Amino acid sequence: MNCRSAESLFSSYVEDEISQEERRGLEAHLMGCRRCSLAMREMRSMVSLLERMPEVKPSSHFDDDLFARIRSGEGLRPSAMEVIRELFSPARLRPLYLAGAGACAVVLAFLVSPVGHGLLRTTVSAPPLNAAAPQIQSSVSPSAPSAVTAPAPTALAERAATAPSSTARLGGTPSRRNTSVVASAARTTLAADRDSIVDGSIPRQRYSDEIINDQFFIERGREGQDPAVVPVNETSDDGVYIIF
Amino acid sequence: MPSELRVVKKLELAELTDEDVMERCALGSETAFRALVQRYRSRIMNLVCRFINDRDRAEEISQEVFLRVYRNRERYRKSGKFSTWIFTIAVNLTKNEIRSRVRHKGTFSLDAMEEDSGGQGLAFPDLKPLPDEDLNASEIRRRVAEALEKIPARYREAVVLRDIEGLSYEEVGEILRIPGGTVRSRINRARLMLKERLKPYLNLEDA
Repeated sequence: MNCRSAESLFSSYVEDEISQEERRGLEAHLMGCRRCSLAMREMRSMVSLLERMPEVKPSSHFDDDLFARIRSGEGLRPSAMEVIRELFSPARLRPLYLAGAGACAVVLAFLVSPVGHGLLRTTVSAPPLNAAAPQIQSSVSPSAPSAVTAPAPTALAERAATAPSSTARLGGTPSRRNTSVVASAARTTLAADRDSIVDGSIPRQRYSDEIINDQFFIERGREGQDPAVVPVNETSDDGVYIIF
Repeated sequence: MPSELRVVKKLELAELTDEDVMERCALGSETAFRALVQRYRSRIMNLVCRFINDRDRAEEISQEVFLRVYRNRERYRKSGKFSTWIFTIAVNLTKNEIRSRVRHKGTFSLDAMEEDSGGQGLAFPDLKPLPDEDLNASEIRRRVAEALEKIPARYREAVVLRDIEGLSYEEVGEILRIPGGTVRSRINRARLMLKERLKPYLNLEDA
């Protein structure tokens, strides 16, 4: 064991939360290293000093001030400044930065991949569009001209005509998915925006497990309770029920 | 009769767990909320004050912690530990305070600022070792508070929760939302930093 590894175990050793193997290794090192042996004694003294720090007591008017603030209405709603600060807090913006960085990483990965690289080379070396058209046609065998030629205007029109009907079919399904899940997703965002201090420093998209498939989904909270106002406790599964 | 009734209620509250009291508070009991304030005001005040080393501001932030608890009382889930919830609120509010201090100093990275400048956003001058004979217990405590203030926030919060508040590693991890291994390494790193800063004041006879 070297000094650096030994140092990383000081706290665990002082608190006796170290495995037998690590303890043996560390003690062997301490026997032969005066510097680490001294550092370990200093660490013990440091921890003892911290533990002996006296508690800072609140003032005698703490309760009076607090309840005066509650009575003044502060306990009922956040101030405008608080709301603004919450909305633009670094923790709230962090997911956006991460999403941006993730998107850039995906694009970069694609561009350096063989497919992306080939595409780039094709794009860069391709002559102007009007010159490219005859080349493509000439490189394709005459037996399959429809594979590369542009779809006929009529085909496009047909496709466009069918698209809305499929959307309507999806949207028209008389399921609670539209009314409940979609609506609760919107409310969820609002709930997550409400107070990230209370829920944690990193606002996350909650209820991502709501849609299990087309028929089933989970709502959190007690029956009849608005799921958007129920904070998610990941360590517990109580209060979760399934609506079929 | 009413006074007897009040006594019975008080006894009941004293015997209840924090989670049960908070549940009553969520149902609208102001007495329950007062009981929680009584139970936690010193611990929260101590925690916040050790983070920012500014007593007046710490008192305001501690009150803000209880305001948040009150405002969000209906959102509390009994399945979670109340102490973890309230400490999380306190830590998050304190982080905001530290960030805002850094912003007013025109520095973007809190940790970099603290490491580079030795905590310029903070109220005390740099530590200078004093001769042993000049140091009494309160002076040493002041030095410890100053040293805590000067280590980077991510290490400070871990070591304050563990060594000053006496929370378990698991609770520290839950509050800071970091895995157990990270909790251990941050606490170890924080102690090593403090040890270096407080070397002249450590009593090796204790160790």
